[in-house]
Amino acid sequence: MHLLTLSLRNLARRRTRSLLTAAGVAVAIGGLIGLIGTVRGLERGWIAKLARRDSDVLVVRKGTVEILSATLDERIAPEIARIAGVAEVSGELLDLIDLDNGEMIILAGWPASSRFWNTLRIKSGRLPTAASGQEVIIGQSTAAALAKKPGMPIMLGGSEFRISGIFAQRDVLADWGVIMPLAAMQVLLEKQGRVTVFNLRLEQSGQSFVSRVIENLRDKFPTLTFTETSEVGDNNSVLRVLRSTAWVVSLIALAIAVVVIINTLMMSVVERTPEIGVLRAVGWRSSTIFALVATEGMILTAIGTVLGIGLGLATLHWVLTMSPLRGMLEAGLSVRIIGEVFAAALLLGSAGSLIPAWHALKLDPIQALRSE
Amino acid sequence: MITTPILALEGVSRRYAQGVTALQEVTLQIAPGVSVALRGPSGCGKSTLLHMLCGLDRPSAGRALFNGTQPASAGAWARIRAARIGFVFQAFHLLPMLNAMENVQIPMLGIERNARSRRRRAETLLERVGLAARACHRPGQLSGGECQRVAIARSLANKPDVILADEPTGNLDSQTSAAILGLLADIHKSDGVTLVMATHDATISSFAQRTIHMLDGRLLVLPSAEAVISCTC
Repeated sequence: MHLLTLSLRNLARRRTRSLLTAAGVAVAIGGLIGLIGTVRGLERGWIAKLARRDSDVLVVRKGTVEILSATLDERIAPEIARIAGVAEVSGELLDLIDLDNGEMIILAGWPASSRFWNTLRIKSGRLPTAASGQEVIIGQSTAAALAKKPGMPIMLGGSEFRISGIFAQRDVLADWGVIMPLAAMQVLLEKQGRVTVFNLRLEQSGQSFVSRVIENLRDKFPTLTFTETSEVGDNNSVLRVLRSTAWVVSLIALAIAVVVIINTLMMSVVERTPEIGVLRAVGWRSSTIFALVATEGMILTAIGTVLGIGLGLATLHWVLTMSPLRGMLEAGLSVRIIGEVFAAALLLGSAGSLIPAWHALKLDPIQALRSE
Repeated sequence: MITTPILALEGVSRRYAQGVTALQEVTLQIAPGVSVALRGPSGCGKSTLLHMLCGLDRPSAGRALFNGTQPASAGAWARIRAARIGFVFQAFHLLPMLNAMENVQIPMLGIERNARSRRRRAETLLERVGLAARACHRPGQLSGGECQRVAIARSLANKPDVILADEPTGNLDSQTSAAILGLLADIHKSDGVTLVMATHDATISSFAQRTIHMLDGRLLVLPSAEAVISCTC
């Protein structure tokens, strides 16, 4: 028999209470995993969309909080293209739009000359022609969800368009998207002459070169914000707010979990007062009694955390595949993050068991023996 | 040659916050290897005296010594209790979620690091108290006498020099009591362990070499140090 055996037996004595406590921890950890995973998924979806098109710098209007609602004058593009180090400028109009089946997708408009058209992997049909003005190409996930094929009509913002082809992209944001010529989208959204962002490709990709060009651009265009693609997630205000909210909610959930652990262990210690008295009488050291109670806390936390990680991953899977956010985010949780959550939860659980463990130490052994 | 008493109290008093005095200036020396019965009515301070002898309780005045020295702290007393003092309670105080074998191993946790050795020692002790066949039974599945045998085996776990027994037969019928007292006496004789039993039962006295009477927190017969030490026969 070991100390661990004793801790497990103590927890097993009040099986329902122990399971409920572990469930409380699981819900907290599950919520944390779900929230953080969702925010990171949004972040990764957005970054992947940009990065996989070989875009180095994203340009938006200064002070923009939510990118999709911002607009820029597309006539600035040639001026930006003249800055040394900029290889290509591609305007892009973006918006979120509801489809007929209630699915929310990203609608993108690209100029006819944009090299982005060449990055699409056509699965069937062809690219839309700018001349028709009423053609779109749709991602394969959108096509599958709507059961659409090339040549079929699709309603966008109350107007009918014809599907010229279906493409497949690795990033979910694009795969769930609909893309049309910029001019047609400007008419559809009544945003003639406007784009949401400019995507810049630079002549070189070295960090110092990129920083130098961005600095130059900032000097020349003080009303615009230039952000490296890899930092879009960090600098996006909406994502920042979501990230902060996720952390605050997660911390509250964790705090509740710690209180639940403290409560359970305190009840357990109080109920076992005579037994703790016996342990003192047979010569158990304070450190061993402390370790006994702390181990129980850690076991509860570990079980709850493992369950919580499973719950969180299941929630994330649901968010990625079934919720209204489908197509908006990519799986964004690494093993490292899960490991960090596990370690942090164990640390908090251990911290939570300190109070009951301390209470156990402070019990007068004589009173404890007499309390039965 | 004068032997150093293994247990000693020097002018020990114990007063509680409510104004109750459990012990009044008790001086007592117990030589190694003797068996002593502490007799007196309920509430006379027998349990308190036992608690003082093993450092579970601290005197309000006076001092408690083990083997001629005064342990400096509660931790020092805990180490002594773990290695050198076994305790048997009236209410057995076995852990209900552990079986007999595991209960006996409880004092060994933190003392004997090898789990196999702990198990072997527990098996030997249970065999000694006649409970080898009940090793896997939990306290709820054992009779009162069997529980007390497990408690005695537990008290012997770390090969103590002293066994303190607080009303060891208080919860048992007369036949079982006699068996338990016989077991304790046998352990005392064969192991040379010092045995101190608190009781209000006159029959226990016949199992001890020496009887000390208590009333209202005082020793009625105050044995001199030499008297007790000379009892090491």
